[in-house]
Amino acid sequence: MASFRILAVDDDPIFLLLLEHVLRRIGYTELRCVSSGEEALKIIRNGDAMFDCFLLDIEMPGMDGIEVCRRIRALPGHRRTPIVMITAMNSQHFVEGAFASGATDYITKPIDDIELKARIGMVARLVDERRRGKALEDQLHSHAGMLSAPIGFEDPIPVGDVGGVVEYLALENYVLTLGRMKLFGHAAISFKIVNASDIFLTADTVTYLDTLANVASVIVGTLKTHQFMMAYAGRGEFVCMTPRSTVVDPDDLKLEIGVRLGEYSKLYAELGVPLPVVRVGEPQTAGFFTRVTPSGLMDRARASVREIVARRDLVAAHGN
Amino acid sequence: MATDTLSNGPGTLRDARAASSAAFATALEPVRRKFIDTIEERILAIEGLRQDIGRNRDVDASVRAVAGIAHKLSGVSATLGFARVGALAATAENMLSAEGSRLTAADRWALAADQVENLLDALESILDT
Repeated sequence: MASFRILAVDDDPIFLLLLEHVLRRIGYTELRCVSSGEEALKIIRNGDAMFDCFLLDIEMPGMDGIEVCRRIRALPGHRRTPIVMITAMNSQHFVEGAFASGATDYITKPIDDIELKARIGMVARLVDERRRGKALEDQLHSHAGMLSAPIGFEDPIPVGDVGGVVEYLALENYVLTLGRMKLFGHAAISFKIVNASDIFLTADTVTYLDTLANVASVIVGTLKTHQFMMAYAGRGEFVCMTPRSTVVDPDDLKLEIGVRLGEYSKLYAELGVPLPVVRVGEPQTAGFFTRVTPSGLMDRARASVREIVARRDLVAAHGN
Repeated sequence: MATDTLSNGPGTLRDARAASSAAFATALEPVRRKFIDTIEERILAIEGLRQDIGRNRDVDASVRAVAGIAHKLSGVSATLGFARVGALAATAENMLSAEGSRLTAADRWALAADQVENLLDALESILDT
């Protein structure tokens, strides 16, 4: 197994000892344990030790795990480092706040080796994939003398530094935590950059990532009065979860996004990159008596915006 | 039936699962012993806090402290083979927690007192074995 360094934070020494034994049994031996968020942040900021993953207990005296998560995410070196929250089975109401603070996933106490193996295994694979990507990026960088990260058009690339935007995996994990009742209270809306493939082909990696961040911040700007959680899903598509009661008319959203993006037209022209054009899908909701899986709802939102774009293309083709 | 063979036959998945559980329990034995070492201290702490609450001494903080001890117990007990303690502690923590409750600390304590008593009994029975 590749090196996988974990920092675990919990105020209960018995739990930390238990975690150490269980992790060791499933193959993770590089574990450092501390008993408070303050201590963890001090170690992380010092930079003496590097970590690939953080395990944070949510309920701790003093600084709680959600605050520790938020502060770790604010550190430039850990914007994408997986953070797995640990919560008691009867305290799952904290989970929403944890995801909003940048958590990647969560596990529940009491822990068992099978669940821990599955969750940490998923995180370890994520770290491994990123390592491979980084190695390739460094290789390309040294050969070509320019930044050219190997990102794919289909990849759900993390969009950094935009409030309310999380990694797609984190959004999926968040949606999975919503029970049937809560899922009923949410709507999934998808946004698609219609000309994303043109932008992907025209722009270099940095410009493409900047474009995604620009579009994300414009979408967030239009949603700013509402509660939401959004992620980039790949193929120029964003998926946003909002409370069902605050869903806005997609046509209004599309118009406002178009106006706001239009303000950047000169900049995009100077870069020689097409101005992003965004379409908004129909909000998708789960019926109370119909069986919709959480991921099914997100897929339906993406399908909706693709259908709208396809219809527009068809109309344009007939018009020509 | 194929499922019977898989779940009930000799050398089956059930046996493999049982062996895996036994290995898991063995691996956790040092932690289990350490946990048992802390039980007396936890019982004494809860008893002390219970007396403070009975004397109306800093009820809010005392109830919060009992909930804190129950929280820690519920987090580890089941994994270490003490499922009953884990369940009692989780319920006690729920009843004592101020989160989402409109009751005062004293009222929460009044409701949870029997549950805490049961929890103490369950902890003591671990020490007796």
